[in-house]
Amino acid sequence: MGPPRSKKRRPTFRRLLKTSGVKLENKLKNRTLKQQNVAKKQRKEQKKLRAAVKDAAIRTPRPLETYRNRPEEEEEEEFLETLPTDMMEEDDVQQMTAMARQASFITRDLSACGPVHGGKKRSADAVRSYEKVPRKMVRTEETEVIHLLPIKDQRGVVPQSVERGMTQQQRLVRLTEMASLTAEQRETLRVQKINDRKLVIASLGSAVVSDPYRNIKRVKELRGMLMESDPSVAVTVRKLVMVSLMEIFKDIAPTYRIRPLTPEEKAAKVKKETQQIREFEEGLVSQYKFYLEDLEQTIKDWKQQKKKRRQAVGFDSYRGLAEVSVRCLCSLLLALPHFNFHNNIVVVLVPLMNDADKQVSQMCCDAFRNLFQQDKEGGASLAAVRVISGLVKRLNYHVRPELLRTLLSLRIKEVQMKKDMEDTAPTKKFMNNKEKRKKLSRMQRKWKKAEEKLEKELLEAEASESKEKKIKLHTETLNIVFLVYFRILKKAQKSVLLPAVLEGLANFAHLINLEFFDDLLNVLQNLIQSGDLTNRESLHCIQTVFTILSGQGDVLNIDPLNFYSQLYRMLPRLHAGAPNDDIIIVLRCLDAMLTRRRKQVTLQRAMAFVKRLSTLSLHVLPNASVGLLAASRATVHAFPRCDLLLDNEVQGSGFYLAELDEPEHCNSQNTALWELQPLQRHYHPVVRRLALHLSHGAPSEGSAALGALSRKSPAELFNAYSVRDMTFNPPVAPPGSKKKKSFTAKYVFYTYKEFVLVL
Amino acid sequence: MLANSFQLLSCLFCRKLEDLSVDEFLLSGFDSAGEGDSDEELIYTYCIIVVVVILLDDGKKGKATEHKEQLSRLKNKDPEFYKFLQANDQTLLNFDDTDTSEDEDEKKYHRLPSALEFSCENKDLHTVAVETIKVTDKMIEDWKAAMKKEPTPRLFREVTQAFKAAVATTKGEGGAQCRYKVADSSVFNALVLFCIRDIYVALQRMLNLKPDKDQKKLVLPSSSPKWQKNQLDVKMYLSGVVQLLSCLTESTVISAVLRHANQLAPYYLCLPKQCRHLVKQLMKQWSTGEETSRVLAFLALNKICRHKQETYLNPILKQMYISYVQNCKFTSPNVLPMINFMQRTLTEMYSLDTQATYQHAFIYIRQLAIHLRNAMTMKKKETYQSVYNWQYIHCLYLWCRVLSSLHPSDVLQPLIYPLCQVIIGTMKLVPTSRYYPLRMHCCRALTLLSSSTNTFVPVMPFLLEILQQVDFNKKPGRMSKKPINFAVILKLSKVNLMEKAYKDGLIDQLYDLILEYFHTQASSIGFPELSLPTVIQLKAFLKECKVANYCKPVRQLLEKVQENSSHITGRRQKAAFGVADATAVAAWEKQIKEEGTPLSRYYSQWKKLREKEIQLEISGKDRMEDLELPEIKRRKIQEKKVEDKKEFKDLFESDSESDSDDGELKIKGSTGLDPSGGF
Repeated sequence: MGPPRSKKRRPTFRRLLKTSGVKLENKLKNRTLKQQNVAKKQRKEQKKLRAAVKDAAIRTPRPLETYRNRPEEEEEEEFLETLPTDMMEEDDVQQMTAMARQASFITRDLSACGPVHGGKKRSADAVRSYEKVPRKMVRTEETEVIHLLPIKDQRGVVPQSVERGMTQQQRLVRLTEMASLTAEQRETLRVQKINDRKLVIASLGSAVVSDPYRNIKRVKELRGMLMESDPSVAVTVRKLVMVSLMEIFKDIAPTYRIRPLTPEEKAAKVKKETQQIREFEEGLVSQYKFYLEDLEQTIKDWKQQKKKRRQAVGFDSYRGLAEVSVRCLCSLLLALPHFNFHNNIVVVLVPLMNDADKQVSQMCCDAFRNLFQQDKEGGASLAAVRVISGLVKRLNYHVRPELLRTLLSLRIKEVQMKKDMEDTAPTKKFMNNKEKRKKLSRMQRKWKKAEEKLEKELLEAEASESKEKKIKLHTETLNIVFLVYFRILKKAQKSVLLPAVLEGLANFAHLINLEFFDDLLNVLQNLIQSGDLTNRESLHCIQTVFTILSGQGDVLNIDPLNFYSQLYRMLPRLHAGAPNDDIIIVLRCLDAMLTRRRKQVTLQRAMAFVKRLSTLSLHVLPNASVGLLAASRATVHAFPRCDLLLDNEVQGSGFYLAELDEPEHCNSQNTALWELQPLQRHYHPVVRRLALHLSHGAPSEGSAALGALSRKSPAELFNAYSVRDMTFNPPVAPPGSKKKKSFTAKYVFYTYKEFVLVL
Repeated sequence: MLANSFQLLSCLFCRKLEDLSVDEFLLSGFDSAGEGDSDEELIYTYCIIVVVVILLDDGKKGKATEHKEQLSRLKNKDPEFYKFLQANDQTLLNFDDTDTSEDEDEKKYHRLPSALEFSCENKDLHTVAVETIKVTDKMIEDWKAAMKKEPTPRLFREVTQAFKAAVATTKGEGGAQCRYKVADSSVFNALVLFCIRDIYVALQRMLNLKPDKDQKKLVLPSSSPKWQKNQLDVKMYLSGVVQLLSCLTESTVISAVLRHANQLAPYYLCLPKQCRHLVKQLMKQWSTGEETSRVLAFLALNKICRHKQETYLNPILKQMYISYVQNCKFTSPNVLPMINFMQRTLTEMYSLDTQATYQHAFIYIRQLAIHLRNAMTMKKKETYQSVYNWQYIHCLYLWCRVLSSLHPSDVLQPLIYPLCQVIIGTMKLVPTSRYYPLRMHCCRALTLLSSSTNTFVPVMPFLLEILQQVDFNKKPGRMSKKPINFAVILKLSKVNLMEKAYKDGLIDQLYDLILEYFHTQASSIGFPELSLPTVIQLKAFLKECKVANYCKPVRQLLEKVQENSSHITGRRQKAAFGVADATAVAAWEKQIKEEGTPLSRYYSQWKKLREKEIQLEISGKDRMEDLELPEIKRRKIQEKKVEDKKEFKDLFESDSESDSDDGELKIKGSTGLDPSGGF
């Protein structure tokens, strides 16, 4: 009678707690499914109970202390111990294994292990005892469940029932235990308890993972441990169970979404295997759901407590538990994007991205960033973006910038407006007739033909469908993203989100629809001229503008002269300190501004930029120097007349005005790139090489040619020589061989000798 | 004359001597001598030469020959000065080999015993053995006489036994296996003094060792036919000396014993075990001892390394580096000169074999880089601490110094790049205002490295960033009484950041550093481009800043930089070569450097003023701190050191005739001490 009751009890208990709308929805969905299966489950439950009872009969529980009252067994034990191990015969071994099933034997082995045990035997016994412990634990769990309902005190529900399940003696012991133990003993006891629980978790987990179809019920037992009651170990055990369950679900969840069965399907008779799979799926879905609910509840408890600022007794542990829950959810978010309840996870996690707790928000943001990055279908991203957009709007744009920054990770390359572009994916090559005739026999050819035909069909069907679907999803996602961005640009220009918005716009600028261009350019122009922006933000603005203009924006007739001057003015403000990382944006801008729009740029402007870029490369870290020099190189290639900068001759009138911020009027033709000389003494070998290359007019051949370096874009070079993780690129030569040593030693000595001889 | 010179010398030692290569040493001597009588000035210079030589070389030849050698070296190194000497003082160059200061030496001879006075009262307590013979003054006199006449192995054994007994007393309850017993402190003193003074000569005579004609190679005693016979006694004696060294505390005595050990180096080289022990002791003295003993210990180490490079160089370099790192954990105005000394001497050691140096430097720079990488990836406070500490910074500085001093070296050239990257990475690790002092140390190290290796390193951005980040207009939160000494701190406290002294010091430091850096680049053809952001930045600063005290130096700096910039621009416009012509550019830069640029002229002026300022500061501080207790002590110590130097110098002179060592020591970054602090 026990198990069914407990089954019913849990949902009611849960119902007492508050549930979100989404959860309720889920519940409704699942309830039908559940009700259909109640009868079946009961049957299974009972079957299991019978098995458990049978199991229990073999291992009758014996209280810990009783063995002391049984001298005859101890004698036997001692007798056994005195026997040399290799003299043991088959019967003895059998007898011992039979005894090993008895709890007293085990407990003694654990607690009062005799000192004269042979090493081999002891280890064997230890293993056996480990095997036994979990099963015993499972059983006690069951007894708790039976007696849980009627008792409740201020400590909670469960401890009471545990005590009730205990024998008189044990209760007595437990009572005296707490009073008599020292802190140290209590600690060891706790460690032991934790170890016991760990073993239980491990055995249950491995059972499930090894045969999920049959052991799905074990998940429930494991989940029961989430209600761990012993106050000394509760927090740890709960955390352990959460994490283990997370891993188990990741492992056993199928690669498809499980849908509830239709009544017809239900009514139809099926094979045994199918039935088993169905049962497994049902069990899995319901357990997964309950598990997620548990996690959500934990987080909610933590949050509510925080808001009420109630007594802070369990506060620390609540926080820890909640953090673990969030971690589990994040990990599931990433691992099972296709599986049931993914949306629910998203709904739970998105508000947490904006959480006041930095660690939690960081964790969630990272999870979503990864989700966006690895999401190939686009469905999960769309769902997440939708929820994020809703959140941003609801909170009236008072959210963390990190939240918006996650959107930068969206893997969107194409949207609807470019639908007409042809498929660039490499098509599979099929053999033509000639080859076939040469290589294959007649039969083979026939087979091949059929095969190819089939393959072609498959390919077409799949590609067209998935691609269309993907683009549709992406378009929708991006529309939402832009909606968020434009809203902020329009309504909340002063908010902290602006940098994130500008960065996002710069990132997706090539996907913006034509109709927005005019307005957007105006907004950006105003922003940049207001002077409130930091360097980085202005750079993002410029990048956005030029990405738009170099895409479909070329139909617009706009002269972005102002933006050129802005960038030119900004260059001397950058340096090797904090703004060194902004140079990557400069490099991207330059690519769009000088190389791709070379027809619209005057020579004056190009030369002024080359001069300023190489000046700037004196004041930045090597990776930026390399990037800037490479950009100068690209410009020199685009404007061959830039070689004026390599001669020391004055053209026309006027001096070069280095400090003037107008590229057209600074007389850049009257200066030379003298900074390449110090750069040729730069400490970084690659900078030296590039400087030498440029000073010779960037030739493609000869001693000053670049070789492999020339094939990389400036931005790539910037990243390749980044020093962020302290890697040495190019590497430093390790200490050389001994041969060289004698030579140089002599050399040093010689110079000294010379020195003496002069005296 | 000599006594007089020492007076001067002591002044000199108290002064701030920043660069200690001989030439600059001399020049600075000239500068400070000022408008004196020209003869006096020369004598003064000459005395400095002598002292430097004594400090650096082992003083094996007579002082006069030493001097001659030094002068001819000078000719090699600094022909201009040599010419100057030739023109002004012929007598100085044709120096007579018969030395003049003999009598003075004698006079100081007899002061030594008093210095050796040893508190031996407690040693009288443990009189143990029965059949031991008590050593008396008379016995020592007899031995002395006998040694003078004819040193025999038997006599030597007796003396060794007695010496062993004497050493045993210093250990307290000792081995007691000695034939002799030394109970009296005066006997102890006499015995040790006798040994230190006479044993070396006696040994040389006993083993029939003659100094090599070449004078370059050390004559090893194992080459003597009598070596086998006397090996055991020599061994005993040598371990006695090491033991004595290990338990001495009085710095003057330590110096004397070290000096003796230095003489005995060839013997140590023949006995590896004793040599190892000696090296251990020398290491201790070098890293923790008094100034003189540090110098002497270094000389001995250097000697050992030079003569048995293959066996000793690598382990000694390793140990020296480790004890350097161990002993630069804390930095204060008092300790800084010692750390500088260790850096210079260690550099000297590294110059012995560049290939070995490359291996060491590679490993240790990589170690620094690994620490830094860990700090970068972990981003935790503990890992920051493993980089942001004095040891790390001093190590960076040491390697900068090594690479700069040994610069024209193909072997070490490739290490400049990783070192620069590590230093820049260190600066960028936690770029907050609290760590500005650390950033300045790094900038200084980079400036040194870049100027002496002719490498371009972007230093200016890191300095300008400070100027950008700090709001100088903001009223300081609190007034402070003391200026902040940026040379001995890495991190500012939160309170410091509020003070006025912080901003004052910051402007001062920035001024110094910017000027110093631009000075090193003043004749570069790219100077206008190099200074462009600085000019823009300083102009912006002047526009913003409302504090007159800060605007003044900045305006001055700006003017000088602009002046230099326009000078270079004007000159290079007339140049006939293009950007690609590297050789022509190099020649042009050299020419400009020789002609001098506005900035370099201003720099030398400023430097002089600045040095005077620092001196005034130091002396002023001393005067002020005389009132406080601890500083009085410090001054006394310093005075005492001067005395010590005199005494220890006597010791040099005493055996200089008999010493047969070579003076191979290269005087590159010389080994003097710099008690005034500051880099």
